Amino acid sequence: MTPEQRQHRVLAVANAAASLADPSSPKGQELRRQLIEHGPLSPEGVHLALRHHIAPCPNEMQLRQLLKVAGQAPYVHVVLSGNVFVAGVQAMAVAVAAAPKVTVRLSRRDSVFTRYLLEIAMEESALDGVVLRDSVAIDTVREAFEQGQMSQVHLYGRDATMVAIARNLCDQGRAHQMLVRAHGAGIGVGVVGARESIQSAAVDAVADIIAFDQRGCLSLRIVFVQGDYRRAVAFGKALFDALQHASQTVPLGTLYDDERIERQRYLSTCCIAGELFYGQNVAVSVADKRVWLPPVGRNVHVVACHAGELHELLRPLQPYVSALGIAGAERDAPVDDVVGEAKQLLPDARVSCLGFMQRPVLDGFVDKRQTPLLRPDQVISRYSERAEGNPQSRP
Amino acid sequence: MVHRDLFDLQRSNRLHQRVQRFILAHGGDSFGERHDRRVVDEPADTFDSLAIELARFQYDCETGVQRLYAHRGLHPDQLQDATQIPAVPTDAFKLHRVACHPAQLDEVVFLTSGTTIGTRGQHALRTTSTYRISARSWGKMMLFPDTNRLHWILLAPPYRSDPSSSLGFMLDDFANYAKCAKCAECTTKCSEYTDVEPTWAVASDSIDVPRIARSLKQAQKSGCSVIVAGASFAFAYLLRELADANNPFVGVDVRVMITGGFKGKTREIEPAVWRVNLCEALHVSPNRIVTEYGMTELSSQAYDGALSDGLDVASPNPVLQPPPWMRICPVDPVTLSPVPPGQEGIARIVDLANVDSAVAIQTADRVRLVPGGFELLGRSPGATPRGCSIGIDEILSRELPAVPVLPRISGKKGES
Repeated sequence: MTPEQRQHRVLAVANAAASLADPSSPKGQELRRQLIEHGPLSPEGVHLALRHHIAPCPNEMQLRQLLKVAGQAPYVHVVLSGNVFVAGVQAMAVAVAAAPKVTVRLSRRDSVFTRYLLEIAMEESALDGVVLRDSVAIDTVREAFEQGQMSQVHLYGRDATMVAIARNLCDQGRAHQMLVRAHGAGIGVGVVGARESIQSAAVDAVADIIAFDQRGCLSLRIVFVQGDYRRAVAFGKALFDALQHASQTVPLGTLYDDERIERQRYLSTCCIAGELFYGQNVAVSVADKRVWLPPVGRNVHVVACHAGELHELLRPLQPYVSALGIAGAERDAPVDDVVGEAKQLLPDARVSCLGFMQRPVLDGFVDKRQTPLLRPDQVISRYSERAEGNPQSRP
Repeated sequence: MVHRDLFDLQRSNRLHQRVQRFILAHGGDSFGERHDRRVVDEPADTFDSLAIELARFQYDCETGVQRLYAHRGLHPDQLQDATQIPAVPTDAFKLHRVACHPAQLDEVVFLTSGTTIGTRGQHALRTTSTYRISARSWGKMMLFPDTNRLHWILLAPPYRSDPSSSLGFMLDDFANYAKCAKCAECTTKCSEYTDVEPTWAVASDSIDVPRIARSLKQAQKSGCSVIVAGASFAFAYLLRELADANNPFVGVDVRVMITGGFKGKTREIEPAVWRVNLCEALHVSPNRIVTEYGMTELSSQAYDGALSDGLDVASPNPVLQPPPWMRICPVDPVTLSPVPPGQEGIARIVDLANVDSAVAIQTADRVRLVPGGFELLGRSPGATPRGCSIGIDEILSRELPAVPVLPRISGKKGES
C-alpha cells in the first residue's frame, strides 16, 4: 500500500468513529440503544464513553506516528477484547494501516461497536479488505495461512488469552508463518506531586475512574500521593466526595458477581489496613506505603509516599502499568519528585494529565508498552509466567 | 500501629492459659510443658465464650479490627457467639500488622509467600507456647497417633535458614518432639539411634535425593517409622527427581504429610491424580498420605483422617478435620453470612490459638461442611478481569515461590 492509501484507510476508521460519537446520527443512536441493552455500563456510562472517549481524528503528526507504529504486512488478524469498546478505533486503525487485508474476530460483548465502526467505514469511505468474524474459534485466520505469507496477529486481552491463542496457533502448525503483537492486561496509576492541589487532583481523577467503570487498561486504580499519610487521607476523602458526586450524574453500571465478591474482600481488607471511605458503589482506601489493587467499579487505592520511595512501591507493578496520570500540568518534573520518579520508572506507559488518561489520541496502539512482533512460541514464554504464576504453598 | 500502653500483657497471658486449658480439656497434650496450676486445674471455657473473650481483647488493643467492627456496625459487647465475630481477611495481613502486642515483644514473625505486588503477609506471635501445644496436639492425633518415634524427612530447607516459615517452624517442632531420641519410654531400646536428626532435604535450592536415600537407609536400620512432610510443590519436584533416580523409597514403610495446593492454573493437578502419582512414586498406599490444611495466618491446622481413622483402613477419609479449638464456617462471599448446611461458601475460620492476632480469619478458600469436618473445594477466584483490566488475584497469583525455591532442578526432565 502507498502512504496515501494507508492514510485513507486510517481516516476512514477515524471518520466512522466520529460519526458514532455523534448522538444525532442514526447509527450513533442505534449503537447507544444496543450498548445500553447489553450492559454492563449504565446508560449514562455509555453516553459518556461515546461522547468523550472516542479518539478524535488524528492530526498529521499523530497520523505519521500511527503509520510508523503499524508497519506493514500482507494480512493482519485482530482479536479484540470486550468492554472498552472504543478501543476498537485504535485497534482497527492500526490494522487497516498495516495490511490491505484484515480479519477481525469480535468478542461477543464488543461486537456492536466495532461492527458499526467498520460498516460505516466501508459504506461511507469505501474501506475495503476487512472481514468480520463472530466465531470464537481461533482458526479464523487459517485462510491467510494458506497464502504462505507472513501474517500478523494483533491480540488484545488478558495474559491467559494471549497464551491460549498463541498455543492454538502453534497447534495449527503455522507458527512459523505468524508474528504476534500481544497487548496484555494493564492498569492506570496516578501521581500527585507535593506542590499540586489535592482538591483539583481529586476532581480531575474522577474522569479516569468512572469511564468504563474501571474495566480498561488505562483506568485509574491506584494513586500515589507525595507527602505524609495525612495528605494522602485528605486526597482520599476529596476523591471519595468527588466520585460520589460524579456517580449521581454517571451511575455505576452492573457489577458481575465475581466483581461484587472481590469488592467485599477489598473493603474488609482495606478498612483494617488504613483509612477507608466507602459508600454503596464508591470506595477509596488509603494506606501508608502499602500498595493494593482495588477491584473494578469505582474503587481507588491511595498510597502515601515520599520522593525516593516510589521505585520500591511501583516496581512490582511496572509490567502492568499502561497509563500514568499526572496531577496538574504534565511537566518536566525533577527526578527527586515522585512525578519525575514515576515517569522514569514507567517509560512505556501512556502519560497524560489526570482526567485524560482514558482519552488516548489516535497515534498507534492504545497500550504503548513495548509490544514487539513475536513468534507464537515467544508469546507463550513471555506471557505464560505472568498468566500462570508459580506454584505456591504455605511457606 | 500498636501502642504499647494499649497492650495488656497480663490479660494476654491469662487468655493464653485459658486457650491452653481448652486444648488440654479437648484431647490435647501438654507435652511436658510446664503449666501454671490454673491451666490444668481450672475448668475450661466453652468455645464461644473464649472466642468472644479473645475478640474483645483484640478489639481493645488497636489491631485495626475496630474499623472492621465499625464497618459492620457492630460492637464487641453485642457478640453472643463466635459466628458473629468479624473475620479479618487474610489479605489484611499483607497490608497491615495484625497483632495486639508491640513488635518489640515478637517471639517469631511468620511470613506468607512473597508477592509480585511487593508485600508479604506477616503473622507475629508474642509467644509460641500456645501455637506449639495446638499444633502438636492435633498433629499427634492426626499424623502419628500410633507412635512417638518418627524419622522425619522434611522437603524444606532447614528451619533455621528461614525462621519466617510457619510450616518450617511446625515441622521442626514436630521433628524435635516426636523423634526417637526424645522418646523416654524407649531410651534404652533406641539408645544407639539417639543421634537421628530430621533430614531437611532441600539444599542449594534443590531436592537432595541422595541425602533422602541415606536417610531412608538409616531409618530402616533404626526401625523408626518414616514420615516425609512438605508442601505440594516440593513433592512435585521430588517426584520429578525420582523419575530418573533409583527410587530409594522402594521397600520402605513411609507415611506422608502434604500441605498446600498449586495456585498456578495450568499446573493445577487434579487431587486424585496427584494422590495416585504420589502413591506410585513413594510406594505408599493412599491411607498413608495425610493432607494438612493450614496457613500462615492461623495457629492451628486441620488434617484429613487418613491415619487417624486407623492405620489399616482401606480407603482414606478425604474429609478435613479441624481440632476442637478451631471452627470452619462456610460463608457467602458477598454478604459474609453463613451459608445453609451442605452448601459451598468461603471459609471463615475461628482459631482460638490466635490469641494475640485475629481469632476469626476470613479466607478465600471454598469449602463445604460435611459430616466429620469439611471439604476443601479450591480457592475462590478473584474477579475475572474483563476488557483489559487486571485483578488483584492475577497479580497475587504471580507470587514469588515460597521457600523452598526450586527452579534449578535440571531442565532435562522438561518444564511442566
